[in-house]
Amino acid sequence: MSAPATTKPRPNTLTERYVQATVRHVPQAQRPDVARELRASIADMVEARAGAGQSPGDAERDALTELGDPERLAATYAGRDLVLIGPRLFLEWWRLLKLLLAIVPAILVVITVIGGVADDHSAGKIVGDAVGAAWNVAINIAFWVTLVFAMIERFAPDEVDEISSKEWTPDELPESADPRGGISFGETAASIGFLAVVIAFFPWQEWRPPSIGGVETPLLNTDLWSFWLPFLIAVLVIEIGYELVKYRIGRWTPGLLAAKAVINLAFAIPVVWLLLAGDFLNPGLTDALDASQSTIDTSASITAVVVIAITIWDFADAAWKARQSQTLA
Amino acid sequence: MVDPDLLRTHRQELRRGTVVVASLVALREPGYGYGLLETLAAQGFEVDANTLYPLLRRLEEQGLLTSEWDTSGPRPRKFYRTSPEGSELAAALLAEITSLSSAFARLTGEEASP
Repeated sequence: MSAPATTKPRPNTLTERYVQATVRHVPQAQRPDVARELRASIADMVEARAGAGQSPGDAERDALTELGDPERLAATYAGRDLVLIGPRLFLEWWRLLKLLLAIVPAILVVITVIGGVADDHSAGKIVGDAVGAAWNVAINIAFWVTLVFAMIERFAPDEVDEISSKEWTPDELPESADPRGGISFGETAASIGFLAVVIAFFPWQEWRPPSIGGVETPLLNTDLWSFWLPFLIAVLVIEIGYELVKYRIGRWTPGLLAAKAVINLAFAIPVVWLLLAGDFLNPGLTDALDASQSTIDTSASITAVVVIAITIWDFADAAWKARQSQTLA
Repeated sequence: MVDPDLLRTHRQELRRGTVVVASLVALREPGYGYGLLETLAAQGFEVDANTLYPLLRRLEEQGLLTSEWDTSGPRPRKFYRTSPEGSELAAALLAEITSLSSAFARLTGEEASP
């Protein structure tokens, strides 16, 4: 029995509206058959209810209510789960998202800040631009990653099995069982973020210096750029590399502790020595701040003491954590 | 006193696969959507219309049922019938149910003994 080329228009009954609403979401090839069968089944359901005493109108209404949302019914016909990203793909999606969101916005912030400094923007504009750029890229990453995974879930079931079938082995466990002695991602990210800010501080105070007493005055001695400031920046960059290595290893080792000591001293000793020799701060500050030389010298000494204290505290904290993870091993 | 919602959840889980077997067995004699729904309900298999109708189509896609439109009656109806593969599958699943039944009997029997 073949369908006529143009079907005559169907009556605008509740049943027909329901059937059309359902088959709209069914693949084209199956539509005529599903529609016919559904009409017949609904008619049977209505007949049974009418036979039990309900009015035809109520019976029709109840039958359709029992069948439920047409889109949901259509999905059941197709054997499809109504889900954006299913359980098989979810963890891969979530982990990729976390990874990209941890790395890319941070890189963009650094680039924006450097660009802003080079273009001579104000601190407020740089911060605004950096935050805006980070937010923008984060939203885009979240959207596009989710979209790709959703499309894989919907249209490429074979690929889903490939992606999700990688067997988990115990090799993928984090190195340390101790949540405190181990190196957490958050802690590493925070350290790297802080180091990035400190690195950015040096060019910032030189090329877009704060305005003191109406005159733009760099905070640090500009002669230092010939050697010491590049050296300090290099030490900080090495420290970022150190943080990444430390995270990769996952727990404190004597080697990491020793490296930390060397790096901290490599930074602290020059800074303290320059401060005490009076060579660290910009000599022009005395005029700009309208302060006496002795005030500047005292400030330098206090700063030196603070630097020493922080260095000692930082190392002690690391040593204590290292000791903890050893006693619990 | 068991929480009724909890009981309902677990009962549904338990019965989830049984509708397929029941349908394959019932359709050894040709039947149509609503008729099967009534038959199953009468025998104590709880199943919703919006679950059963799509299920019959999917079982047909899997080759476990064959279908035929019957235009002889007052209204055209799509009749399903269990295919030979469907019959084999039903037999295997029924054997599974029987062996589960015995397994439970042994389990509860062993639990009951001191």
